[in-house]
Amino acid sequence: MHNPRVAVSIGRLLASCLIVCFLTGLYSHYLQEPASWMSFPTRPVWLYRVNQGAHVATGIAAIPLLLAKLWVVYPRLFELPPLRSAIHGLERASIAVFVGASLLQLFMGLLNTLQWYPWPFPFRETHFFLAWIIIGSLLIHIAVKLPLIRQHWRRARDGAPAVIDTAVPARGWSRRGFFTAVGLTVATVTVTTVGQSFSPLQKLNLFAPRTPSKGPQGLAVNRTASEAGVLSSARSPDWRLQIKGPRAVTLTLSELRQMPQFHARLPISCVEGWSQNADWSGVRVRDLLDRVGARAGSGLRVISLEPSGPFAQTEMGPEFATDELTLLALRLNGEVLDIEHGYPARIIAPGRPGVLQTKWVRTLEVLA
Amino acid sequence: MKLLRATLICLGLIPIGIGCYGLWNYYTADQLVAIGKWLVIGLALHDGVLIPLVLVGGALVWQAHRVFHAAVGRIVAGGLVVAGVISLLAAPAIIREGSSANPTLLTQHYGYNLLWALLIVAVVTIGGAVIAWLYSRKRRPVPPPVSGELGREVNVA
Repeated sequence: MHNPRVAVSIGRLLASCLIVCFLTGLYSHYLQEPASWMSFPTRPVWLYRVNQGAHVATGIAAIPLLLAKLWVVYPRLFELPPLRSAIHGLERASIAVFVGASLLQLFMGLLNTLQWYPWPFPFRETHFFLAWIIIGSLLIHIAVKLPLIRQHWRRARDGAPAVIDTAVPARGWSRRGFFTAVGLTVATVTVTTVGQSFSPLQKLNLFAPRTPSKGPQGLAVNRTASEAGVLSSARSPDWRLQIKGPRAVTLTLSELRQMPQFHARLPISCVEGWSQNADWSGVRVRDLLDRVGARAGSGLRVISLEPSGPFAQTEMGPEFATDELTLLALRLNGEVLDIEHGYPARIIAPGRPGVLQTKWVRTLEVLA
Repeated sequence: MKLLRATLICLGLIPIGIGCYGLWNYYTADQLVAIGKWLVIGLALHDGVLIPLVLVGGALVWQAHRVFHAAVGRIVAGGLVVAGVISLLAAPAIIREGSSANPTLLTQHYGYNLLWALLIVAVVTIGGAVIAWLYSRKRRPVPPPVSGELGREVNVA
């Protein structure tokens, strides 16, 4: 099994997973940190849900694939002579970086879904920069191995160098047996975790850290009111919504409730992969923008009661701010918002990660 | 082909540059050293501990062909691979169970879940191995292993 044909077959599966992981990761990253010229689709409303579900699912599927790939090529670690030339040394060093970064990346990603950070460096940035290094290393690896990949892309044909491909050995793996084992492992890890974003398989979710429907009002919580330090400020009777724009306005909760209320069925989709649909109702953000006389196409800064934290303040491009489904939600699944879900008011917009669906909103600031 | 390979290498250097530039700019020297340590430790654990364990386990399992049939060994090995990977996957959740202040995080008893999953894998594996063994006996008797020639492949096909 430790032969190029098997390495190529496993390698292309792993590469496909890594590429999907990279692209979905980039989309998620730029939604959170957009360049000024970027604009994002708001439909379908489940776009980010699928994006992030796929990101985490392919990341988890890549774990057995990476282990299988490394097992297949393990004898290469001991090839003789260990160093043939400077180029060969560079190639081996680049493989070490590629493998080390891939192992760390998948491990970090898995632990992040549990909100477990046992390392002394920031998760999000490291995950982002390592992703670039991995995808570049992948391209170089493909370039270096290209003759081998082309030679072994298909099963050995007449005239092609003989690779024991279909013969069943007396012991050890057969090719079919090996791929069946890898396939079953990928299927098992997928089926036992993907239920956190793919609702029909929620019952089979044995190992993912979330049960998205478990939580107040039938919805999980990423950051609790206690963690955010808003337990008293969010419940204060003095709470007012400030809207800063050409005509600044301050609204009480009952004034917000008297405005036209709209309903939207939108998912909360967490960067950590879990997601769940919910029924929201409240005031349309575009109506609030009109109320303060914001120019058409204005963006918005949303400020939470949360005193600190990376997402205590978020920004929203005009495509989301003016969308008819983007709400300052006051109710969830038919009830007044639970404090864990952002009482008295929170943002809910289509196609955005949960960390940008700012809870416990204090101020909306129109951006020019 | 040369042109394609050169293009791929150049294209690959761009993202590597972006990643390294980002790491270099964003991190303190201590953090960079820490990332380096984690990279090396990960590699060492994988190459020095995990794979040798798997290889030793595999070598033991393949001995099954001496008593049973190669197919039995393959089914057992497949079961062990599935069991090993789901154990790795579940381990962080089991370690962290009950540690979060957020009651909606780590909502299940992951240790029990893993036991159930391992039980199912064991039942399927043993069932499959028994069927394969009976089938192989029906089809042809297992030839006696060549004694004293450990490690030499015996072609029974």
